[in-house]
Amino acid sequence: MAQYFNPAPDARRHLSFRCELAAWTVVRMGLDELAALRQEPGLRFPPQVTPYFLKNSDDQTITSLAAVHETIRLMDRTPQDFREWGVVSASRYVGRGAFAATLHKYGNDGPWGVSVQVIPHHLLHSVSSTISLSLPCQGPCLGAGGGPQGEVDALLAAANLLADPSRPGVWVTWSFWDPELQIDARGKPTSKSHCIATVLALQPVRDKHPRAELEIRASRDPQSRSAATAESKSSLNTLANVMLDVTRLSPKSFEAVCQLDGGLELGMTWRAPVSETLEMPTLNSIPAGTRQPLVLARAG
Amino acid sequence: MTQDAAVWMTGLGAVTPVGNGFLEISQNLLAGKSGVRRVFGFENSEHPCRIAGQLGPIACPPDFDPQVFSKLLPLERSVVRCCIDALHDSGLWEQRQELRIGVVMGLGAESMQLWDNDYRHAGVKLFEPDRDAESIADRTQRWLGLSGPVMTVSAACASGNQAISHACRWLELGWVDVCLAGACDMGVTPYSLASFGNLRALSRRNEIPEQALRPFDQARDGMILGEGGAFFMLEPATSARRRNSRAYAEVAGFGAASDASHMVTPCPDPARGIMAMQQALAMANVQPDEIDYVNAHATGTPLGDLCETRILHGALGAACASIPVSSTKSMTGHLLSAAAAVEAIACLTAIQEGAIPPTVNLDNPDPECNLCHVPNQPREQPVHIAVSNSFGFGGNNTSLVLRSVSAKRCA
Repeated sequence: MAQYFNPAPDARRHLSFRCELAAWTVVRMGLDELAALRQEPGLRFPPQVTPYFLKNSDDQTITSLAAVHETIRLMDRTPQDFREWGVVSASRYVGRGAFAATLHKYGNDGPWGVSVQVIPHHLLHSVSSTISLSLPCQGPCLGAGGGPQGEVDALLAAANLLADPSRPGVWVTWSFWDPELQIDARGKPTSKSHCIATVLALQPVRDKHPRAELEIRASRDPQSRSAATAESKSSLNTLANVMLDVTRLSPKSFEAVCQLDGGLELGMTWRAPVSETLEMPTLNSIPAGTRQPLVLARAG
Repeated sequence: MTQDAAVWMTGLGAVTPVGNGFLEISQNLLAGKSGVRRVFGFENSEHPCRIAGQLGPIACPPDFDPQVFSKLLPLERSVVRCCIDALHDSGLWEQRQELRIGVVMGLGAESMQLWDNDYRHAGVKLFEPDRDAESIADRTQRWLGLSGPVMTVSAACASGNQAISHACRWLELGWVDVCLAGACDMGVTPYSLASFGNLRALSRRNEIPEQALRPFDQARDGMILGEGGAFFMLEPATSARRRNSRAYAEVAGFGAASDASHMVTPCPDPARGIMAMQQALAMANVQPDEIDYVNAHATGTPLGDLCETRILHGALGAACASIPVSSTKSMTGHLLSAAAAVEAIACLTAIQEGAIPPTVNLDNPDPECNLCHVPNQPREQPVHIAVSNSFGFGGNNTSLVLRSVSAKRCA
């Protein structure tokens, strides 16, 4: 049967998807900062993002939104510049607190106590939709993944959106609680934790050698055709941390490859000049309550 | 798309309120049979809406351990059933481990449905989510012994169309030999029925369930939730021809754009919905007057149906007056994340059977929804090009163009 699909194994197409990583920002916020930001969005957001706008948003949405707006500032652009961009957001267990509150209220008050906001604001699509609304940007917006290994799903989805030659770029956001937030039966946090959002601004490759580049391709390693494992997907996080470590050491360039599942691999290449390298602690050592954006390469 | 790059649907599996599998679903859609009934499975007497399109028990597929299947969540059962049926239907079940088979799943509320089910059985996964960190997509891949990439996407109620488009892209890149793509949603739960009900998005015509959902009708008063899903085997036309496979249709075009207008309410400006349709038609190289059928998103909400009417007129122009349009949600209910996947089957029905499924309960069309309706009875006519619109919360607009393979071959 396989011969119908690949008459000559060597002739298999190994087409790759390449894009430029125009900028990258990591934002980490604690519960107090998130509460403050809901009260005073002007701390990080442009005027159109009001307390009313954020009222029903999930904390992962707000952190991701903060990272997007931070990236726009670092790129020296305005939200209007991103009107045709797409958005792909991989949140991890988004809406868990709100859903616990919903179940609690349903148990106590019956169906009439259930909020109408849970489904629009706390499901997988909600982070990307809110970002789309905030800027506003009118390309496709998608949620991806949903669990601990959703980062790969988001990159694969972004690759599809960027296949449209008219698409000027795609925002990719990854967000999660570190450590996973403990909540009570009403959905209220009972532990200290920080919400971390990473934002990648991906654009079609415009130069022959972009300063920072992602490439997803069919793996050249035949062993990687084995079934997916959690380890293979989580290697992306490992690679991201390696990347951050390497950039901290201010190299002129580096290349790294990680095996994704299903016979794909992700290559990351960075050719940023030393002069543009910023000091950046690794993701896991960002001090609580601080904002530590990282610029890998400026747009344009 | 060139003929060599064409992607065909060579298999499908589906579980829906109007039946399972292509033949049963097609027969019931063309017969105008509604799957909307009184809600069962949980106490609902205090809900504003007490009707929905629910599934009965999902039978364990052949080749799957019944004991394992019985322990799966309802959402997983529907996914596994659809994927296995699609593999069998395409004739690729036995070869599944020889091929790079990818899986793209449209799942909009995977975690919530997991937590909800577990919570109702006194579980603690809601409070300890890492206890069950493997996604349904990953588990399905493992159970079926597939080796291609897997991905979960959500564009709210447009998830199914998005999943199909991603799978086509993987085929184009050569990352997979074939790809399963589709969506499932088991959204008829106490909290979603309550939340959508409190939003006043659901019909309150509880007395006669099968007559409640009335897209484009003057008396429409909201949608009805449904559950189930569908997965398709997408395959390069080249390999499908080589193995002399049957094809339901070619996936000819796809478009997507966001309104960026409101998280819930449809955008009064049809521009981005029009753009999504025009992108899909351009990709398929189809002119509006070549379209034989549009399966509308039309959920039966007063505003949503009106907004889609504007989109259809804007995208199709003068041709809109004569292109048959129907909403099969009138029979299935709104399957949320899975709506687009199931409505693709309505398009395949029209293509394969030469008859367009009707909009049932369309007794008095709203004059503001001035479209070429197919009210209450199927319309027999050849269908070569069918378009399926799906829109979602957050302003997601998508459009999918399906083309009959026989027409393509004859061209």
